[in-house]
Amino acid sequence: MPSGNDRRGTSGTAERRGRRGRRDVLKLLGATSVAGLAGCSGNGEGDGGDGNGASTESATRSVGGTYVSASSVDAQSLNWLTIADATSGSFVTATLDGIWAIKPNREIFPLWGDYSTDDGRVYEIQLRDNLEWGAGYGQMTADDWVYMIQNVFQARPNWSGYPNAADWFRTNPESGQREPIPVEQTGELTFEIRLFEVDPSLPFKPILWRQQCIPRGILEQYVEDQDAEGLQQDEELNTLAYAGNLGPYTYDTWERSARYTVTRNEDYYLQDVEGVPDRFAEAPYFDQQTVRVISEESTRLGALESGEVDSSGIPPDKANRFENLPNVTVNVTPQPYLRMIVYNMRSNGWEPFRSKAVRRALGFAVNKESVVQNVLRGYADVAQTMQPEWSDWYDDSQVEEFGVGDRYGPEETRTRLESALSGTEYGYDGERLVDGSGEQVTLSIYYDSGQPTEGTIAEFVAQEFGENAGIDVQPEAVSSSTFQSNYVQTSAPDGTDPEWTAGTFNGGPRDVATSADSWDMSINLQFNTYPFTPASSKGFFERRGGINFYGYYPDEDISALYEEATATTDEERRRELFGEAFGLISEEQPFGFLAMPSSVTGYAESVRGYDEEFNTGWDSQAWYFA
Amino acid sequence: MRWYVVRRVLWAVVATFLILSVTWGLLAVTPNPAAEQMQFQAAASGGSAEAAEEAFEARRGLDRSPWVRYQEYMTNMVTLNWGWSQSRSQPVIEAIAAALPYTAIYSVPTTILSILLGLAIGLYSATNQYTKSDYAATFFAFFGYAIPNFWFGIILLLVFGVQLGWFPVVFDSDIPFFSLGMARQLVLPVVVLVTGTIAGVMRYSRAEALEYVEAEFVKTAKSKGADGYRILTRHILRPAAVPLMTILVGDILGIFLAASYLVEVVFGIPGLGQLSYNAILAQDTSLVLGTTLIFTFVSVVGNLVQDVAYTVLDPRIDYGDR
Amino acid sequence: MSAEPLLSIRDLRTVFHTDDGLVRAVDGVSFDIGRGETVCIVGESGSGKTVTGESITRLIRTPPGEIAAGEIVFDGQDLTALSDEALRALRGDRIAHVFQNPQGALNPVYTVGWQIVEAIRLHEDVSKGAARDRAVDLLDRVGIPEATRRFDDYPHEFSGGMKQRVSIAMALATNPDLLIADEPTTALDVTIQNQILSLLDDLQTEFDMSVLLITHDLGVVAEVADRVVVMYAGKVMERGGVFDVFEQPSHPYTRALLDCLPGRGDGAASIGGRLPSSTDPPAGCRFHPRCEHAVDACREGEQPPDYAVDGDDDHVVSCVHYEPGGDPSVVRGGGDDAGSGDAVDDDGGDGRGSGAVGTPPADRTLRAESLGDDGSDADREDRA
Repeated sequence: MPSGNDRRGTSGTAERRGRRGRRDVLKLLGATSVAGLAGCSGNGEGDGGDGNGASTESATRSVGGTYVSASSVDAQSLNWLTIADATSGSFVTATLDGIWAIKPNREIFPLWGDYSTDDGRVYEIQLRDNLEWGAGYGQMTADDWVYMIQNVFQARPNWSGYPNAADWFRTNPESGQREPIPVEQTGELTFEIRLFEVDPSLPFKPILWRQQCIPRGILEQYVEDQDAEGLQQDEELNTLAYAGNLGPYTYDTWERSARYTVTRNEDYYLQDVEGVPDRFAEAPYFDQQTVRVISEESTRLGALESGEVDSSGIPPDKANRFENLPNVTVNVTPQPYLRMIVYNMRSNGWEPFRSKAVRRALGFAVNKESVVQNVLRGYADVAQTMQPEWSDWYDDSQVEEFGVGDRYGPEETRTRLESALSGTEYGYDGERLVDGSGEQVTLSIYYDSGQPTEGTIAEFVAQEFGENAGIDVQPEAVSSSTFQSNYVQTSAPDGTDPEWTAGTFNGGPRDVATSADSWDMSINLQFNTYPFTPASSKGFFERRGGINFYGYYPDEDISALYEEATATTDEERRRELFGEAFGLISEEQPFGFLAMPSSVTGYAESVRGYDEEFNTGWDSQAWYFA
Repeated sequence: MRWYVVRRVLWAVVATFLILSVTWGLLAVTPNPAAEQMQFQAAASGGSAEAAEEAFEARRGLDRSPWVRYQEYMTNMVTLNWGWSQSRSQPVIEAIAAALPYTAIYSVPTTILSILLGLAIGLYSATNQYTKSDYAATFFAFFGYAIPNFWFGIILLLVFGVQLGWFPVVFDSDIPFFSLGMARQLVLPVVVLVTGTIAGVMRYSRAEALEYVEAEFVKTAKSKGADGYRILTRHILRPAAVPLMTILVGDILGIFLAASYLVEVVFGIPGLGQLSYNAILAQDTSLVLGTTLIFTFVSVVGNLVQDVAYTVLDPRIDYGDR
Repeated sequence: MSAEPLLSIRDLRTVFHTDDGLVRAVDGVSFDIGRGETVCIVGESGSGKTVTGESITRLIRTPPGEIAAGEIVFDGQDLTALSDEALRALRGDRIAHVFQNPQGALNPVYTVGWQIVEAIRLHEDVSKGAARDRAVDLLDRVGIPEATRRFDDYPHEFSGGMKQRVSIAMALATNPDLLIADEPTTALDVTIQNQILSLLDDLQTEFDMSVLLITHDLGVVAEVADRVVVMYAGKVMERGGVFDVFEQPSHPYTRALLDCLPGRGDGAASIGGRLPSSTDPPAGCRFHPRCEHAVDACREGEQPPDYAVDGDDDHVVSCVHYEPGGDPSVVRGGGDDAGSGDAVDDDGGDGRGSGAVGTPPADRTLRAESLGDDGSDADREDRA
């Protein structure tokens, strides 16, 4: 079986994109003809980053058919102001494009609008001029956006319960307080976002990437009285009646727990704009799209096999069977989620984890290739740091590798571990690592009881530690909610007052604040490595990071690198700084990085439009049946 | 007798009230995994866990005192304003009204079939005790009883749906209810459920019938010249119906409450079982309370019907002024 | 009885296939019932008398049971050869049954009226109203007070004696030619017994039917029987007119039975020994293990054939001592022991009357030790 590395089709290192100037933006919006554009603005044909949206395709696409996809869970609500789960999001996105998309090569693809910035601090957003709301709310203007941001997202108190409200606040360096980001309308179709500090990654952040909007006319009814219930139960919001021409499909029916159907939107705005690849000209290419909710995995896969659905996720252990079916094509895409061993360095963990040398030694103990090939069936990539190998910020000259090739083995582990632990009570008694009283060192590793694959990984790690490091490791299953409440949440003991606290997950200094139950290692959680906005992972690597529940205090000042990188708009400099940061992270081994599992999807043989890259669904409105 | 029924109905109301209160109480003290998820996500992406938690609570109305929330829920229950389902973003009544027909459409045929078949086979077994067909029927009944429903359902789906293609694999909720297409896609779920429940009915009716097969009045009936069929239905079944009522009501409830979830998950039927289970997982209080009410209602009415049926069926039982 | 007998049983053999072997419940029984006659089958528990009665209309459960041989000729038809359907037409219509246990004989979930109406409408095409009227009339006839109201009552609202009357009413609903009553009074009080018996008597005349009465109570036999059949271990030991048998008991078993009665012989004596095994009966005469007059001939071969007693073909006995050339006096002793002065009322063939045969009313139980226990004795109340 091909190794994980071969299966994902990297689109190669992306070309450097300079920051967008105003000139490019205006051209984009139809001010000048397409022919006058230079090649580097990324919206021409046959571009390297466009995957298979090649120039000759548009002639062969025809509209027709119903695309049926299978989902294991139903959406919770179409009223995206109130929910934040991925399935609901996907249902909404079928009818509302959002402001822009990000292509796999980390390039912005404008949908409803585009941005421009001179200094990376003030961003001007420009909307297209042919965007019409449904249900009689007229044209989409900057007024709708500003009203929504100021009165709902940034409302204090957060009466609507909007889940991402916190993203619209930043610390104002002048006052030292968290304040709402200033947003102001500058024209009928333009408005400005004025950050307090430079942040070149703003367009890639979820607050703008695919951000939706709501007509002022609807919100007005509820803002004044702060009527959360009314907002939640508003009929138009719950049936996407306001979607107008803003998305490829319009809402048709939603039978809860059964199916969600949308039909082709004849008036889809994107058909009518200049400067987009030809294939969008007649988009979308399905008459109807349906999501069928099938919670039982065997039924879902059975439906894929029998042709009753056109796409479904496939667990890695079943993928092989589907590879061999003539009517199904298996597509593997990389994902940014990282599987790693979290070491508990708080006082209720194992103290030697605090030593960098110990962690580096342990990095030799687990064979990552084996995890990828045997546990994840080859549908994964080896992980060495907090970024995937195919990301822009991964500099392999900086990243140190562990657990592969000759950087793995019992000898290598033991010699390093022994020297790392010299001077402590721990030492080797023959094959076993023992503590000061001669007792075998025994550590626990926790995994999610609802995930059998995790269990297998945990057992494999236990086995490797046993053979290669002489440490006896006991796998323990725990439910995810128990894990979060008893092992992740940390606080100082009752009565004591820690000198600082960084939230419920990092309740204080690691010697003082601990979780309710003790633990040594865990693989319960998969963390997002944010390949588009790498600065988001800063909190993992600072002493007072809000997410630092495991008590890691870095030797080097990694967060300073993050901050510096965030503050500069020079793309090249940013890459250098992040590359260095991730290199340092691989050196310090705060986690036992293991693998980054890929996503395996099966498609009916006739479906076209997807590719083997991360975020391959970015242009799903252009997919079609062959 | 009338008084008896009235008192039972009143007690039913009290019982419902108690059940609802206990359910609400349990929900109120359980930690909410969705809330924890949001907090974690917020912290992991550099935001504030507390803010996420507050936002969550504000949205769910959880920031008011328990007593206030309790009162509000109970009054709403009574006035049939069963609230808004968070996890489905529709009124609870709508959610239940949408799901109920899907449960009914397979549970009614199942109940009818299991009772009819179970009784028939059981009576036949009783009157033909220890013959080959008796053994075959017993074997079949216990096979169905022992096999786990969900596993059996999956196997049937794979064989008849995927391999042979005789039945659709995924339940299509679009098909009109009383059509051939709907019947076709209900065959497998009904088969799975009937094989599971028929054993109980069959063995029980066999045992009861056996008691009466040897009864003297059966001999009397035979001596009067009644034929086998008449004896079976009028003289064995009718007296045996009294104890049989006990398990019949239990059976119906069983299908409604327990079996329905498993079958609904495997076959993808959007019925009450799935609805209530997902509601519990999502800690969608209003919906959980709404579905609990439905089940309570079914139980209570079922038991009342059973008790009344006793008096009707067996003239020796008379509640009088009890 | 010169007329054709209503029922003629020839060499009936009914067996049961059990795990322990073949049980020969009825092993070669023959007797006749004439029209208008009352015939009593007498025997202890386990003698096969009940099975005989049930074999006539094939009420026995045919998977374990089977009519292995013999003829049952009823009004010219051989019942053993009839199909089930034809037999069903006969049952309840021309041959009716009354059973021993009134508590269990009626279906508890239907009113008594309904059950009688069922008996009628199974065989006759009458309207419900007409059937109802007939049923009420029957109830009245059997002595149920307030028959119209009681029609709608359930069995549990009647006493034991009343229930038995209801059963009788039900049996008579279609004017049967033959009524087979299996120990109809055993489960009832002594006072009620008499009432029921006289009721049966009246009804017999009124409905002009024959009665086959199965009992273990010699007193009952004496009261109502025209003819007697004495059974033991599935075979007929002796049969004949009631006067003949009682005045001239010929078979050692019959004599022993009569000796058990207080007021005759030694009073409360019992017959030693036990019933023979039903699956493995002894060779020769069934009674020989307990017979004080047994000789070698008794122990070999088959049960002795029926020999006429004193030249009377109507009164036969199955005992080697009565074969031509044998010596009956071995059994009977010298002299006649026709009940020392207990004269039978001889009022023209109608040998009924209270206290017949001169036995005292009390304690007419057969008290032979038996293999099985039919429990009927438990209900009896001994008058102190």
